[in-house]
Amino acid sequence: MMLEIHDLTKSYGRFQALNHLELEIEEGELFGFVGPNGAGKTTTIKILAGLLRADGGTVKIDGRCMSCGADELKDRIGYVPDYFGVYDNLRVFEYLELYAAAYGITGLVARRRYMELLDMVGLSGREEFYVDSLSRGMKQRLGVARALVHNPRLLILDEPASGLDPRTRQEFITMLKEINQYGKTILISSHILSELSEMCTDIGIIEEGRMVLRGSLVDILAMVNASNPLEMQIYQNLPDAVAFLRKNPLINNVVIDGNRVVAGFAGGQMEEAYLLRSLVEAGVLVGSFGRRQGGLESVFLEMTDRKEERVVAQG
Amino acid sequence: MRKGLRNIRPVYQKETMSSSRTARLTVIVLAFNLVLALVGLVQLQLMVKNSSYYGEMSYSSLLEMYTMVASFEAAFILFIVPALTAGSISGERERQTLDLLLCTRLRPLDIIVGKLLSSLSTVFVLMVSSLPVLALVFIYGGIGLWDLGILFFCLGVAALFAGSVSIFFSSWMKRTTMATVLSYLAVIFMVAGTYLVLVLIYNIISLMTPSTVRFDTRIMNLFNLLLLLNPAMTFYSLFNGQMGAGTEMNFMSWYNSYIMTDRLLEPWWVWASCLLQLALSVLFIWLAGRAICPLRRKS
Repeated sequence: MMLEIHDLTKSYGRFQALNHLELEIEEGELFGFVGPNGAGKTTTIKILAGLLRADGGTVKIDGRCMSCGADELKDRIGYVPDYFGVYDNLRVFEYLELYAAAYGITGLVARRRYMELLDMVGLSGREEFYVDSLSRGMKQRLGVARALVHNPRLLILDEPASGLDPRTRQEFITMLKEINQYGKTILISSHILSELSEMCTDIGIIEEGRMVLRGSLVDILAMVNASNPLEMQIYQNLPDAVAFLRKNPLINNVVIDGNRVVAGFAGGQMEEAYLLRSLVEAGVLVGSFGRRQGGLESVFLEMTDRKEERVVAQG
Repeated sequence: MRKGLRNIRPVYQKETMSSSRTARLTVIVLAFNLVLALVGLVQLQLMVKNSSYYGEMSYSSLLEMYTMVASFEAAFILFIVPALTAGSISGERERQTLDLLLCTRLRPLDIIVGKLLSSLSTVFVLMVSSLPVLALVFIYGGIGLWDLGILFFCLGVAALFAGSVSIFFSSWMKRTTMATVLSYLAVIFMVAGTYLVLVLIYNIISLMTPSTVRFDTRIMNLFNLLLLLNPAMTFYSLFNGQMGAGTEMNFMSWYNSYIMTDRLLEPWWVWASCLLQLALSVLFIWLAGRAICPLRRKS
């Protein structure tokens, strides 16, 4: 297990930012950490990065707990915040040398290391550039190189792609996937759910300081989609098809929109397959058939909507 | 936070590299030496003028030139140190780079001391660059290398004291402007405030003492120790000794010549004040380290 968080709590005055948070991340995962503003994402990340003290609970990174010593944890974590944090009057290689030296890596070892990293993040050949001459996307890549300079096992990124244009963001995602393939475990928090669903293997949704959903992206999407209505395109015998569907006890609420039929369906995947076969055998020409597909966004909205409901109910 | 220093090199190296890339250091060295050279030359010209008037060269006027140049040097250093140091930590905070440094293996004290040493390096450059002007006194003698060594030691202590106070404010304040204002106020308090506080205390004691009773200078001697915090008094005492005026110190003579200071401490005033200022510097550095330690910061 790369990261184990148990019963983590943190309060700011009377506001409880983390409410007995539980989270586990396996080695090699590219984990998306999702939640609305104020849900506790940045607080969790800052505790992991050693920038904030938790009120209670335990954190283990790569088997080492916080109480074992901050230095051991710092060696295992690379942290990329939601800002660049660069010195404008330093060159790219000097910037990386500074952070390498801060981890005790100096001389030729440091040089070899930052050259490798610049190559990895696509900044090769720019080592002599002043940092302030780099574009936003390049500065963000440099931030990732900085976080990897001591070869940590866990890379934590807090809203790393905010403010980047779509192309740069896409390049950034590709870069993170490559870094993940190098064997780094990545925890990434982001509001841009489409980018998370594109790259993450697992996601966790945090709400009011608690983890409300955690699992592999495929499983979560399948779970959400399983409760979505069936959508089908009927090209021939539409009235027969509708009558056939209405007779099926698993089907409720059939809605017709042109040759498109939407129906609530209480069955599983096998029942779906039998229904399709029955329709075809009944002489219905089916163009498409399947559950309405929901994205990470719909999962997020569903999981975080409860708060609003509670507020309304209490009000 | 584990106590102690481990690795100040990265921050020190980065700071000196950054400052060497701007014109700031060059401008400071130029302005500093221009002022000192001007003071030295004016003093020398005055000496020559006086000698032509009286027909003899006063030896003490040469020592006065040394005192004048060294005093200006001390004043300039006390003036420049807050400017060099007050933005060091708050600037990192404003650039959002402080947390990134604290995420590394660097300890808060490594960052504080690295930054402070970088500022003190500039002061060291200033002190070395002032040697040619100070060397004017060697033409006729009277001030030896040992005296110059003590002067440089006192300058270093004063710079460290002002620098540690400034970096303390830089660590506790979020904004550089606020840190700079507070640092200058603290230096002004050290130099002028302590004296004014003493005058106030004297007046209060005088008011409370019946006119028929003789003023008890022993009480005042106790309060005089406040001046140990005052770098200007350290230099006053140092120059008195070097000029051959003896170690007797009547700090309040400008205000009231009847108030005498503690005779016991007088011979050791320079060393006692340097020691106290060094001790306070260590305290301020430690407090600055506490201020930026992320696991101690208030949420």
